[in-house]
Amino acid sequence: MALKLEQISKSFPTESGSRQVLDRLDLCVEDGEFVAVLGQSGCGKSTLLRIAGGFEPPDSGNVGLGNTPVVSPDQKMIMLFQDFNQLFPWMTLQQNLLFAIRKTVPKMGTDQALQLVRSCLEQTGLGDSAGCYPYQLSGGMKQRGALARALALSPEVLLMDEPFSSLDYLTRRNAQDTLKKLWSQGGLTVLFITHDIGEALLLAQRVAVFDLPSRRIGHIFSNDGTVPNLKSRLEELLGVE
Amino acid sequence: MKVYYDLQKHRLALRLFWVLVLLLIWEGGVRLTGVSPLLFPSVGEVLRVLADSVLRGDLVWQAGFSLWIIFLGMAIGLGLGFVLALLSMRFPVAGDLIDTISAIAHPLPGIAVLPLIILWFGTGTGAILAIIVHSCLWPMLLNLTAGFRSAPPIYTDVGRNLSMNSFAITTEILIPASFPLLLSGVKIGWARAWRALISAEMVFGAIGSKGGIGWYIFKQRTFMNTAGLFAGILVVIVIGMLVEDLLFGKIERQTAEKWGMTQIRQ
Repeated sequence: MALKLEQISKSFPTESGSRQVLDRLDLCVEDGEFVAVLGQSGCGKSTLLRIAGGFEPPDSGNVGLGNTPVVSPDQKMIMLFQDFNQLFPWMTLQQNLLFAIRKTVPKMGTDQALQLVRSCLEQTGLGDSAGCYPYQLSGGMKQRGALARALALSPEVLLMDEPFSSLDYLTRRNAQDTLKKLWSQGGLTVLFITHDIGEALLLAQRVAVFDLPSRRIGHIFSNDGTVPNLKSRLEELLGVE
Repeated sequence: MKVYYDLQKHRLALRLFWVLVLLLIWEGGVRLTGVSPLLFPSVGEVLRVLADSVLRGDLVWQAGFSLWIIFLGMAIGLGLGFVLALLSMRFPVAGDLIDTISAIAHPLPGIAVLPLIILWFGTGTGAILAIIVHSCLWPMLLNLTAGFRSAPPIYTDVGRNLSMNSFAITTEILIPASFPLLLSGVKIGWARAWRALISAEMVFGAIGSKGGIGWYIFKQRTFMNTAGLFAGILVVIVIGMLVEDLLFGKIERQTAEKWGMTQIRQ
């Protein structure tokens, strides 16, 4: 289902009044599409994602998944946060996935749930780490564990808030490859927030650039090779020297 | 030295080793100085009186009574602590009020409120329970509230993403997420309640049919049975250490340490 954000505005109170973060922002992610939103740190990308997922209400505007308005988070759109520590530390990796499945699909039998867990862990390269507690995993493994938990819930949309930004180069490439492989199997819509141009170009079908002065999406480019010098244009838009 | 390093790997064995050393120093000191047994009896004499009291059943009964009443008091304290901590989390105004009451009541020693408690509850089991609840509630409440407040918001977000309601998020996410602080609060609460219980039993006298361990110690002093007095104190120490090392230690190893949520003991 398509994810639509229409005329979204959001401001936060500050000591000197309020700070406008988003101003009548529009964005549409088509069904099965992978869209990356590029922008500088602190420009409001994460707020945009939290509003898209129903974690924050907008001051005005609408968010819709297909024809259904999004007013609170639910399992159709799973969010992957930037923070490594989104797995529950008191559960093993397998228990984290099982817990999520039990909460969202309570009727699923134990055998079927275990099979699903194993399959999701295999897909994310964590088949051997099922019995590990999160503190026994590296940062990259934790993020892949969170991705495996998201996949176990068969979401329609995956919302990803710079999930690989704190990883070292090799681990990041590994995680990006895993995500790309999973998305290319079809059926998953992804809205991916990043400040890394290379990452956006590697993963996304379309790249949206957040425009800081207007506090909305300034440009959207197709990443199918039809836009000449796309990397340079993105660097120019983001003010990269 | 190697034997000692091996001992360090086994906490209980290490504890027993040092207890044995202290008992040897005690016994050696008594024998060498020839101090009067009315002031400082030998270890052998204390153990003989202890065995006698245990075999008669008095001490077992009285220690059991003390443990039962402290268990009851701590259960009430923990239940109240949960309710107040949840109210604090849910309603900021209630949180401010509860914080203020905590700040007033927390530093107040149980023994200081004893006269008031006698006035309000008399000198029965209810009064002892009130002292225990007062002693353990505030440290447990402070830690519970701190635990709930310091639980990473991302866990709540994940719970909301799994369509969990507030009750499920509290019981299945916030409580385990704040478990190390919760356990530490229960440990502080236990230590304060145990001390308050023994003091209160000594002041109130016999509660129930035979009274508790505090009453046992008080009786030994009345009859100038110093060895019996030491036997009572020994039981208080042993119970304290067993609860601290075996019960809480085991819970901590099976939970917070196993989950990597606390610094692993070196």
